[in-house]
Amino acid sequence: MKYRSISKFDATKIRDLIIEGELLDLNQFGELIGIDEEMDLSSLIALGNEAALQCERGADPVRVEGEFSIILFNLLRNIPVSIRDDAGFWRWVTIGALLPFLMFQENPLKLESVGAGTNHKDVLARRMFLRAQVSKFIQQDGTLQFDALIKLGTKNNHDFWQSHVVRVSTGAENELAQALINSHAEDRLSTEHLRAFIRDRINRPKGTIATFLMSPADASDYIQEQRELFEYAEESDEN
Amino acid sequence: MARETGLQVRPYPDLYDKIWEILDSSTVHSPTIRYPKGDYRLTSEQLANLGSSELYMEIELAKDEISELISEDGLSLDDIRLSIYTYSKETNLGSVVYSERLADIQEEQLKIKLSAVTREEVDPLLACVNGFSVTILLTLNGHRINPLTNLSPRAKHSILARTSFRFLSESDEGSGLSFNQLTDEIREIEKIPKLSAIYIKSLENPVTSEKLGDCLSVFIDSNLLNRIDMSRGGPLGKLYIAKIGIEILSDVVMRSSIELNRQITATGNQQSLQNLDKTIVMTLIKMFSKKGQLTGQYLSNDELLEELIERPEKSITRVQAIFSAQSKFIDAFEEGVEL
Repeated sequence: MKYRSISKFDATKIRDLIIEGELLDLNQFGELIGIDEEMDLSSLIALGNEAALQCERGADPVRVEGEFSIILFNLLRNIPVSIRDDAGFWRWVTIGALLPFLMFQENPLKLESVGAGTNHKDVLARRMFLRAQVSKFIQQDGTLQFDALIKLGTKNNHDFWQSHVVRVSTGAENELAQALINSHAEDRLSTEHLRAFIRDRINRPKGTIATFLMSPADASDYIQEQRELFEYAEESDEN
Repeated sequence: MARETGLQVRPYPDLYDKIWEILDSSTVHSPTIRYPKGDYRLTSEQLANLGSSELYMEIELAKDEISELISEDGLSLDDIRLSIYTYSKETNLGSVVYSERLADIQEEQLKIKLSAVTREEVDPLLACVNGFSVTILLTLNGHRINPLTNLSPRAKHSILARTSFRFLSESDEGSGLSFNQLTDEIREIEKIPKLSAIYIKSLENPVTSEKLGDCLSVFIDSNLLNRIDMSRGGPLGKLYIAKIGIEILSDVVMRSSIELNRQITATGNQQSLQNLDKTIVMTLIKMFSKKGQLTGQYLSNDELLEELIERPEKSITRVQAIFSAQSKFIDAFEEGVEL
């Protein structure tokens, strides 16, 4: 399988061209990597167009991103890890397929979503994939559920997703991440409290507690206990 | 002793033993002190040098020796688990590739395949251009066996010394890529005062005000800050100890008060002795909290770190003031003065 890898430098140039309204030939950028046939983006292009259409009809782009993350994940989950490991691939998918949808979210385009920024995991296609990946739950019959993603998909939780799940090690610990996402969805903390909670009660203990060994039930109990401790400490502080 | 980190910490066995006796119990709870994890990152270059599409980890485990050592702490091989976790930062793929109780491991030398990425995906991580990290750890009740774990220092030290591992390809009969876990872990053991272990111990059961008072007294009496060897340690090391001391005590206090509050709620007896404990503990909380009303000297972790970097000498003075205030509090506490 061949794919096009777009560098950050190229993504910056492409973004400038888009903002200036110039026509864009993506084949002029990046380099083809791999062997055999080039990966077909048509399904992803259809996804990007449909997402844009829904936004045009008045749907909330945040909700659309959540819902379409699941479809995108299912389309890309079987491609080799080595390709998913390349930030250039995600720039290619975002610019080559999801641009119409991205333009609904950001106009003019920001640096991060298009892959011209410093946070590789903020590229639209990649963040959609990673949010679905960490939310997936395999049922007994082998099918996948994405309850955690759906729960948070209807609210503006971009900072929560990116700063506290996707960009950090929690993003690879499905059990812990799902417990955290569910907790936040049910009882949302303010930005300030959320940062303190994650810093003091999730990230710091990770140095000693092997959270990745937790079962879903263990993770859920753990998050609940940490929330209680955090809230009690906050109340004590206020008093 | 000289160390690369620049942190100079002398052990204080008498202090620790004394507090340890006060806080006597047996299970481990979650600490909040940060310490660097023992993760090992493999780069694509290192992987390429191994020359295979599959990667194995070889672990040597001196089970008999470990068993003997931990039995001194009342533990058996059933209580300790060996786990290996792989993690690819760019793809957010993490997987527990191995997790067994030591009692169930038959071999003294394990060879564990690391290529599986996740439970449902079998794509080898080796293809990741950005490399991936491998965490090998021994856990006791879900907690890493590390400097903070509730095991005697001798047992911890010995377990880590007797667990070595290397990465190698399937056909590799040579040296592979070796890591000396002890070298890395020992640095951490030396860096963090044994006081951390007391902290763990204190979390096992709710601490009564009496025990808490005793602990604080011992802590103050130890004159910990002044016992640090000025000629060998820099201000960084001294503040590090102070910071840990404050974290330990404040967390002990907070957890104690939470438990007491639960008990009061459950019994509904607001006039109980437990309520008295709560009052005392709540006062302690205020002392250690950000709005520290008693001392007015409290530094939050972030502030302390900032001070540490910007004005180390001034920070020491401030920390000493905190300890002084604590001492006064203990005096009042012991005399039964209403706070």
